[in-house]
Amino acid sequence: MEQEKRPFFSQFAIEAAFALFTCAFGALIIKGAMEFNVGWGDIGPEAGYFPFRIGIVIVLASLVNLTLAVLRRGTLAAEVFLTRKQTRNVAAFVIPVVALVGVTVLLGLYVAMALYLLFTVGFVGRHRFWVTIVIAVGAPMILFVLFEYVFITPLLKGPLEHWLGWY
Amino acid sequence: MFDNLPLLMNGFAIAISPYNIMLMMVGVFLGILVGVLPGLGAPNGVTLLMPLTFGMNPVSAIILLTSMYWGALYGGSTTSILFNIPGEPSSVATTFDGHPMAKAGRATEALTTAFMSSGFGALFGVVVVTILSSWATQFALKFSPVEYFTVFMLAFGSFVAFGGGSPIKTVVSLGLGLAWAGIGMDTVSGSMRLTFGFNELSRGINLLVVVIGTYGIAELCQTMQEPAGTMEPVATKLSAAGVLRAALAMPRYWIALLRSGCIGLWMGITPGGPTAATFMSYGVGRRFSKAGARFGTGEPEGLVSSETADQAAGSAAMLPMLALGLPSSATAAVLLGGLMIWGLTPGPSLFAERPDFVWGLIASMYVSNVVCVIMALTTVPVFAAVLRAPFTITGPIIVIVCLVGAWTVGSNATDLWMVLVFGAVGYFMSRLNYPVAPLVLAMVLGDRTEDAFRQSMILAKGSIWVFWSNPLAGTIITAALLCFALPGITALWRLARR
Repeated sequence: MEQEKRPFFSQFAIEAAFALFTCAFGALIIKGAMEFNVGWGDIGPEAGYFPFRIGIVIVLASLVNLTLAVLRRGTLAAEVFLTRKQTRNVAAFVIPVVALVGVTVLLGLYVAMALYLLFTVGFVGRHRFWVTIVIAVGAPMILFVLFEYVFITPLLKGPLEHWLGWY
Repeated sequence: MFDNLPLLMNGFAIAISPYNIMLMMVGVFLGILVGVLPGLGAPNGVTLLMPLTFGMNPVSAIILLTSMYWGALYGGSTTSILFNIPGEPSSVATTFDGHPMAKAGRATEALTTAFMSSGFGALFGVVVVTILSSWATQFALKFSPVEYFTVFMLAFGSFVAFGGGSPIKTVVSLGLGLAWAGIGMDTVSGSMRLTFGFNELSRGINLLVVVIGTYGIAELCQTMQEPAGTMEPVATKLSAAGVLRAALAMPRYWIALLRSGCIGLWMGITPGGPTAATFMSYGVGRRFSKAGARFGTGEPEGLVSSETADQAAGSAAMLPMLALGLPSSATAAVLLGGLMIWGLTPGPSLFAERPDFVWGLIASMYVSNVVCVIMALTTVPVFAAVLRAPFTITGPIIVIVCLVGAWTVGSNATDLWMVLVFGAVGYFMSRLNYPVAPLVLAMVLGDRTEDAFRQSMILAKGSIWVFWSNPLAGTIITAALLCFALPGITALWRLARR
């Protein structure tokens, strides 16, 4: 039980990492803004003026957050951001979603969502076989009718739909 | 104020058509659904529905989307009371008294009290919107880019000062939103900014994609972190007699209703938003009401305080959104994005050019809130059943709804990847207590803030003092700066007193 309560990621690690991330993002914005004139042109502030200053604000605020995190390191390092079990739960959710997007680009949204539902409802959720089939086949079909015919907003299609003659 | 009456009547003529009433019912139903389901809140729900309204007539579209917003506010209360799970951030305060009441076998009373208070709050908000709208447009007509810039700064500043949580984190959140808004074409010079050579970024980052990621995917991640298993409500059936009894008891809480309505109004018109309004109203009630000592143990007045303020703020938020183009909640920000997509420019000219739209919307708010109260009461068993479905089924379906929504925004596969990126950012932001609403607000207002600033600077030939050149702008910008400085001042004050 003790093992379960121990942080796999401590609050401090993530707090500091996210502050570094926003800081790096701010620096990126500054770099992007520097491609333009960040000062004053003939007709007032130039294209880089506003982003350049926003970038500076992000960098400075991120550094303050980082400093605050370091100052409170003692307490934050003991706090749990995610336990090992929670990390596994989040990963079990996130990885199939990433795979869903990857497969969508290749096979289209309808086929990808059927595969995704098959995996998450049947394999992860351990629901009965027929429940899984009804959901994995039913949901894409309902959405197909809704989006292709009712809303007339076609969704991304892949090889299967092309083979069946739907574009 | 009576000048508005004929306009309102015209609005009713537009809003009350069978088609629009049907849209209201659909919107309210979907709204309650997204309010009930975790991972789908009001901002995300409205976002997902938005692309389907692009082809609709703007009046019908806004009626559908705002009805959904109201519905979500009601749905959030249902789960708070029956499951002790706030479906919406703004219904957290509802759990304090609502759930203890339901556990004590007073679920019917709790739900009825909550919905009636919501209905009252909404009505209160709409009446004030109706009365103030002409005055607000007159006021807004005086605005030049200088005043607009100061108002935007005040909106950002009030998040820093009154948003709760770390002010520095709020600043980062605002900064990220402003930076994302800046990606893509620069509206003044036409040059491509911050795209770093990626063609996909030249269209800019779509607000709807950001909302689906930061609100939808991020919230699902949080729910999945500690799967709760199956949830059991404390009650699913309402007795008609109980509903009637609770409804008849409402006038007893007239002080709480008025007090909370006023707090909600204030927080809705100024950029505080419904969530802040509920906590403030609950806090004020506990401090000043005679029943205050019983707050938190299942006291109906606590429920009245949070619910009335929630809806009053939600409806009142429409006033600055329409008159100034200034959203005071994340959902209002999304609706504002929709307005621009439908080709409408929010601001005083909207009242002059599209009275059918403005007054159709205001009139629909009267009607749709009545629809809300009725539907919220009658559909409790349906939604209790929805929530009892295992999350291993509803969760994946919500994921798919989010991705389908992201696709319909721009029919672009890059948007799907973006949703994942923003989902990750949103997850870490909420887990680390970075507020997300300021980010959405900053994204909506980013370009307009920059344009207003640059136009002001051009007008004033680069003098920063132009923001103090007249009493109105001067007052607002000073207040905005004070808002930014307030957390620093209080921190120093505490240090000095120690």
